[in-house]
Amino acid sequence: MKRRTFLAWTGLSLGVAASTPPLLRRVLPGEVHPHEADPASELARARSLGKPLLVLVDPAAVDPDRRGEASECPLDFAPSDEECTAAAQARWTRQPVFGAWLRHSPPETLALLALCHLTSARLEPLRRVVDVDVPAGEVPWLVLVESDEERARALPGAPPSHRVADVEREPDEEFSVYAKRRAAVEEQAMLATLAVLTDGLASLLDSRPQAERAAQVAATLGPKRTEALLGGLRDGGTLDDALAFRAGALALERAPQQRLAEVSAAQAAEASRVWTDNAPRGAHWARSGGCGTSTVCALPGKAPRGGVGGCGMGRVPALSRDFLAFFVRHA
Amino acid sequence: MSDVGLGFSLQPDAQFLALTEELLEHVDLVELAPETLWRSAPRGAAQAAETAAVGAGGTGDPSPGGHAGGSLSWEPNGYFATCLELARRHGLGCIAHGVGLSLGSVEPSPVRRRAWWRAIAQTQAAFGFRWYTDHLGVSCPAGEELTLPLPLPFDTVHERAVRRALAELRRLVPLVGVENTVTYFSLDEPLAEPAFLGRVLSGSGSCLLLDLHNLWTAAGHGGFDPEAWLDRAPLERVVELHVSGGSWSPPEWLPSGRSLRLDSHDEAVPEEVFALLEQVLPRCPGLRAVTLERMEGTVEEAQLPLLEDELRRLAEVLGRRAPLRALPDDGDRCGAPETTSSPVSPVSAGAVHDAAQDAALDAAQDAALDAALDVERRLVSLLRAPDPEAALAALLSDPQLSPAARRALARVDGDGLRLASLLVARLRFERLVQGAPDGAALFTEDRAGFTEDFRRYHASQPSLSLAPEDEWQAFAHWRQRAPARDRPG
Repeated sequence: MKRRTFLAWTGLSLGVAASTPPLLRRVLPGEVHPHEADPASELARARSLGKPLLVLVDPAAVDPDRRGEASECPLDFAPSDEECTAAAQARWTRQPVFGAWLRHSPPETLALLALCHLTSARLEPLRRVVDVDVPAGEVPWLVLVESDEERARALPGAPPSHRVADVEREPDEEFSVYAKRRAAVEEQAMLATLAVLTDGLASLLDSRPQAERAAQVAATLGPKRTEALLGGLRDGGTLDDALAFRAGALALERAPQQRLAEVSAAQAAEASRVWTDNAPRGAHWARSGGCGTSTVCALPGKAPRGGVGGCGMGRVPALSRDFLAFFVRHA
Repeated sequence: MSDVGLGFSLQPDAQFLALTEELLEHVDLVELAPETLWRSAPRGAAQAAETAAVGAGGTGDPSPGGHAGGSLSWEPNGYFATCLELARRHGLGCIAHGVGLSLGSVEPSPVRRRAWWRAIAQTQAAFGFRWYTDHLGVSCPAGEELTLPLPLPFDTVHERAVRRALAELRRLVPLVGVENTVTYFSLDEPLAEPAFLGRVLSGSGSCLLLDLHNLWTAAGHGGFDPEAWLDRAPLERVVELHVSGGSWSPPEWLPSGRSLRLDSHDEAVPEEVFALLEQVLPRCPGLRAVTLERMEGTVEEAQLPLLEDELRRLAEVLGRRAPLRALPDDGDRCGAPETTSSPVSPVSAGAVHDAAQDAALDAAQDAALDAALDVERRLVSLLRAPDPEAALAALLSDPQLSPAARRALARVDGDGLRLASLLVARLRFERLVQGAPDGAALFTEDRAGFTEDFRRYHASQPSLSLAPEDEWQAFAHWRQRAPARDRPG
């Protein structure tokens, strides 16, 4: 193709792209939507850290025939489209489980998670980057990609559902009694789900010795930070939580026996800070809403922090009444 | 009426949801404000989304009606999944009733609108709302997130703005509509509202949500007869009726000592509202649901019997013995016969014009749009003014004020304006406290000092975001750079 013709075609293509209404812009199933984490760059980041990439798999689906917008139904989807609705609902049922796992797990689990670089992604874009061995149609909960491999391993089997829609109310049972009973079942189911995730992660990480993981981290840490880590681990040294978190398996490998618990606790504390304040890229759960709503992703039975108001209505909560009393008085 | 569904509003509040779940056994539908299920997306994702939109042909330019400081993108918060699970557990249909879309904004920020459409599409995908309504009003005037739906003039410019917003919304949800809103002052003749609603809703798939407590309250504020309003309203377009209670503002809020009825959804449904319900039911042939509304934070265990009684009473009025569960199909339009265009008006008339006429029409449209934007800007300045009534008096004595703005603002009731300004301040205060790391302690540790800071901040700084964390960051930034005379302490 002549250069001028090539440029003309390129210009035409760009013109068409630029004139596409932004609301209708689509990505193919394997492509990454701007809202999502890009598995390729997340894997590159994991490799630069010498850590395995742990993917919390997002079950949102894309219909290849409709070439719908990834992670959401396309804006022109038929509102009666049950497949689209089911995919969206699956996504928002699973995400809070991940949220609860990262926000409410004990320090041991967080320390385990600190060995990995975390992200959340759909299976299709991930498969463009690595081979993921799962049966067709199955969406695993976790996928682990070792930093020196092109294959990924998935958490086998489906964790128990945390949904408790099948807890029936007994005839003549008081609703408050039923609700309490159901909440207890729900909490147990959620805890069981979280335990399956934790055990699954442990088994995925067990596939290679910790010394090998430590060596991978060491290769990326650099002499200055390695020395800072080792200095912090010596007798009388002060451990840097963020560095212990960054160094993952290496920090555990080099820690003297008497300071192992301290290193784990530091890693857990940092993991909690990192994943509570900023969820892993691509993950979807929340602390606050657009209209003054409140913390969520609590385990069942653990009430979130209450919000003070809603959007635009005339109700004035007690705190706001107090505020207005001052506001009016000093006007 | 036995095939009309009974609905109840769900609120993003753990205690509210736990306490009222028992009531869901009596209903067929739950109603949600979609934006209460969202949070602002992390900044990186928001910028990526907007960059992608711009790269694909969006203007990305938030001005005019700018939205430079607000959140660009929304994503579900945890109540999204909680409410979805609740609806599924009880096998209930879902309907959406928002507050913040700002249907009446004459020149909405394209950035803001895109963010809302994306979030609504995502929410619709999960909840499958049977219809989506928002308030007739402007909650984001001149690009400021005041979050309280403000009144609008019932003119052609606003008619076109609301119709355009509904048409865009209808691409995402099969049925859309507007609700008659409680406003605390008016910019037009209150009894012109029903005819305006008729014009706005005259397309396919556009419905009226008739809120009977709002009507009763607005009639009290505006001094008109609710029956006269109903006689003029497009009742054939009513898809849903809202029933709720409210309370009165404390006399000490207004220098006049006057109390105004608040749209607060916090008390028992007044008998007057039940009477309106019985009166209006036979006149709404397309009615699909009657919804009882309650706000978060207004339900203690002691109130549950009252709410249960109110739902039973509504079921009786509708002539139902048990929840329907399987509601009739909504179809794709409200019960009214189709009309393809709004009644002829000077600017929107579909007649053939020559070039000179077209140019004259364009000029008239531009002038009308400028005037409407001018009113939005003036309203914002009044509502954030330290003394709104004094600011209004000064404005009306300004000879530079455009005739359109003067006409609209001359109708404004001083008490109503002051009350609306208090509600705007209170909503901003709530966002600020919600976004602050130490929450309510920000206020409770030094009530007078904080209030004084807030007053200066509120009067001088535009309100650019719905997101609590954005409000907190803006406030913290202002405190750091405020001139010495404005600095707290």
